[in-house]
Amino acid sequence: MNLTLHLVGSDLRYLRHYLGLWLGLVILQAVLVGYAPQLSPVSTVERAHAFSLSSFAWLVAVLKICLLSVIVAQLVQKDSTIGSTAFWLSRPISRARLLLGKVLFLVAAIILPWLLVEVGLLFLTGVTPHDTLRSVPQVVFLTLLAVATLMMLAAVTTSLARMIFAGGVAMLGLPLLWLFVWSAWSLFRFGTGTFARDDIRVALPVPPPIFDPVYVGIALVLLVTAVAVAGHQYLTRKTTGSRVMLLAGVCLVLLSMGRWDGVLGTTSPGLDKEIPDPAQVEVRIEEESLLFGTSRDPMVLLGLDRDKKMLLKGSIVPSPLPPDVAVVPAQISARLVLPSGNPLADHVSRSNYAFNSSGRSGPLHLNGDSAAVLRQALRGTTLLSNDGPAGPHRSELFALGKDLHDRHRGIGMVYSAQVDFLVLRNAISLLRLEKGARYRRGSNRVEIVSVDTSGRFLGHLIVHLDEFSHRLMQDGRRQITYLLINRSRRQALAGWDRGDSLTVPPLMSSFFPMLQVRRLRLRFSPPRSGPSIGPDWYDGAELIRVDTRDLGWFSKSVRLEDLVMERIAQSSPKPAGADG
Amino acid sequence: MNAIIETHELTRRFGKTMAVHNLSLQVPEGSVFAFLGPNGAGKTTVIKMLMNMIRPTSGSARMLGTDSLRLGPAELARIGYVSENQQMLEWMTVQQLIDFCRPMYSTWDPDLCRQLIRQFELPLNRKIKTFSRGMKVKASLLSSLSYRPELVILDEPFTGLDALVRDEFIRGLLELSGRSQWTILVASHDIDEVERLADWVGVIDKGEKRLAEPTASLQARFRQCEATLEPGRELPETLPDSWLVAERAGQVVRFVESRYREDAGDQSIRSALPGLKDLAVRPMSLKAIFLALARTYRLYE
Repeated sequence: MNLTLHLVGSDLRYLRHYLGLWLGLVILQAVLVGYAPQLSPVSTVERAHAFSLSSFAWLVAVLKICLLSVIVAQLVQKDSTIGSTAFWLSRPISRARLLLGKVLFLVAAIILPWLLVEVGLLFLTGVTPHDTLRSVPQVVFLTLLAVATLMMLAAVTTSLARMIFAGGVAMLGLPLLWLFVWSAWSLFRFGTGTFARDDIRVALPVPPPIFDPVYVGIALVLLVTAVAVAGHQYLTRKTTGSRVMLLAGVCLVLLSMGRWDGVLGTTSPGLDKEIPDPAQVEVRIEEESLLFGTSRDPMVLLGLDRDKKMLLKGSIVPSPLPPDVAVVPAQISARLVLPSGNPLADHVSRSNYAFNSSGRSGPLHLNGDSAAVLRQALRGTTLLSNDGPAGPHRSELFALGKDLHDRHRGIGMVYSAQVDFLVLRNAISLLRLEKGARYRRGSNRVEIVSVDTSGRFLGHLIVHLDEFSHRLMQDGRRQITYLLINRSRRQALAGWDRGDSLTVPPLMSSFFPMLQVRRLRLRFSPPRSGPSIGPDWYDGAELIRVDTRDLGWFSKSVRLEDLVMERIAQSSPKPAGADG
Repeated sequence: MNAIIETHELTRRFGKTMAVHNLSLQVPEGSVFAFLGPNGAGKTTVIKMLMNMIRPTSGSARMLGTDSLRLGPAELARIGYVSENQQMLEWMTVQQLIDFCRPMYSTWDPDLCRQLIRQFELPLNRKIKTFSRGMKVKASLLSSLSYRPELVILDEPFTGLDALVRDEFIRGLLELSGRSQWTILVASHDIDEVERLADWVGVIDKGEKRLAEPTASLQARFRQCEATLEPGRELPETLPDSWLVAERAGQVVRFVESRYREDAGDQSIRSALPGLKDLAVRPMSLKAIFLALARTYRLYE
């Protein structure tokens, strides 16, 4: 062990200047996040070309990764395991000891300081000790992932330039190739008609144990690959074998994409006690809401699929639901059956809101599911967005080829579907609309920095606020929306937010969220249509914060007897806030 | 003979190139073994296989009684290795290099280290990267000899050393090996460098062993011969296999006898050359033997 520590000490001396710089960047990044509100005056978010702290934080994050690459490359390649000229090869240093020395160095000089600074940052930004402790495994996991991946690349190359090239090929080139192959394959696969229902497995990524199983799955495979390749290279010095392992690992990552939902994400329904018991919930399709629209399928638009699709849309209404709970039809697996009893077609539709992290829109143009969730949160209050009052939400019930539609439009058919509902909980908090008003719940806090009422006679109001939010990938998906509510008029107005946001970890926060510090500028404007919003509306208004969290899912069956397609209106409806 | 290094049909192939072919060799304990061969003969490849730096394609090697593939810290602590190809820790000063190496060896000898520093005139506080090539070799030697290794392997150690330093180094090495009973394997393409040093010689060419034997026996069996034939006499159609690089100029025939026996005198030569008028037989230097061998193998190709 003494000799191992001796090797670590020698590496520390060798890399001391780089390590100083590294620590400086880690601390700078923490300072940027921790003191973001003080460093970012209200005026910076007003000006279009203002200095952006978030851009600077990104730059620091990129520099940090670059510097980490240099440090790991220097550390590993100065005692190279490739070739036969390294100094250590003729010295009484075993391969295992050399590997242990490098690992100890990385733990002591990179991972531990990184962890300490991040934990300190969380603590200083008001995250509770409990949440701070919960963050430790995630910080360690991500740090380990970055360090192990770089170590793997450094171990199988002989210089920083080659390491970057190998990294580029492995991390960018192969995924691009995979994307190309996948696109070409899907062009042929999805080019025809409908899906058979049995092909699609119900695998909803809720409720959590893990934020998004795809990212965690990919990260885990990458981490295991990195550890295996670096370990293999150090212990055997068989570089060709290690490179083959690296390629195999990257291919495994690519092949495993999209396969993690079923492994990590699918959980039994009803884990949360607030998830409704399906037996107690009635689900119906409002027949008067049914509507046929034409599909904006890119394959059709590109002319790759000549069979134009007709989309059957309608409102699915479950009731009763517990208070504070909202549901979104996440996946509809449907079938149309002819009077003869033979199926005409099957179709599966998935909600963007439920399945994609990016599917949750901002409040300016609330998409269908977002608006539906907020409307369920507000219960009885009209939701006004920029386009006007949000109308009833219609889900995509079925998609049918135009030709098939035309041939069977006059026949009475049976529509049956299994609907998998995503269950969400809305937590609503109220803030007085005045400077200094604060909200705090656990590790999350908000403070109104200023309320600009100068434009309220024209119907505009601007609110600046600072927001510290803490969440971890295992907490599941969460969305925070700010609205102005006038309780006496039973109206809520969605705002348009713009702001400077600093997130930790900076480059991976969309996959592995931890801490978000935002200086938000919320701009509320009267809708283009609908009720008028004036100074008196704002006088009675309060700011509400809707914190929407995924809880889980439940499934129900729905059925429509004697569905005659020609009786359904055909249009391309675009009421405000409807139809996502 | 107690061999400290042993190879058995050691073979290494790089793609289509056969770098070392079926090399079987023994280096006796306590010897100074000159491992000779022209550039590209395969000396460095053999040494790297001995040191487990590269794996043999086939065959095996043993160092200090251990299979070279299992050479571990315990064996490496008993081996001093200096090579012109070895990377040095150039970011260190000599003092830092000493401090780095010392804890690895329980046999580290501070007195010997100081003596070598004096002998090599190495500045302790200068970074190695600022050194000339010769100085770097000296620093490498310092870090490889200060722990009194039982086996010293030197791969082209004299590259970059000027004649004076080389001379001093050879003297120092001889002194040390004599005093400490070290076994030294010196690989070189230049016989001049090791002539005074070696008591055993091995010659390798194109990856194959040409000979390996004690210097004394080699010098005893090689003789430079100059025979003058009687006028009108022709050379026999076939000459003995043991005659190397035979040349004729008029009635004078010059060759190297590689199986000369002191006790038999000139008898075998005289019987092979009827009509011999005069014969001069001279002992040969190691360099002359090496050159004769090199010319022979090239001639036979």
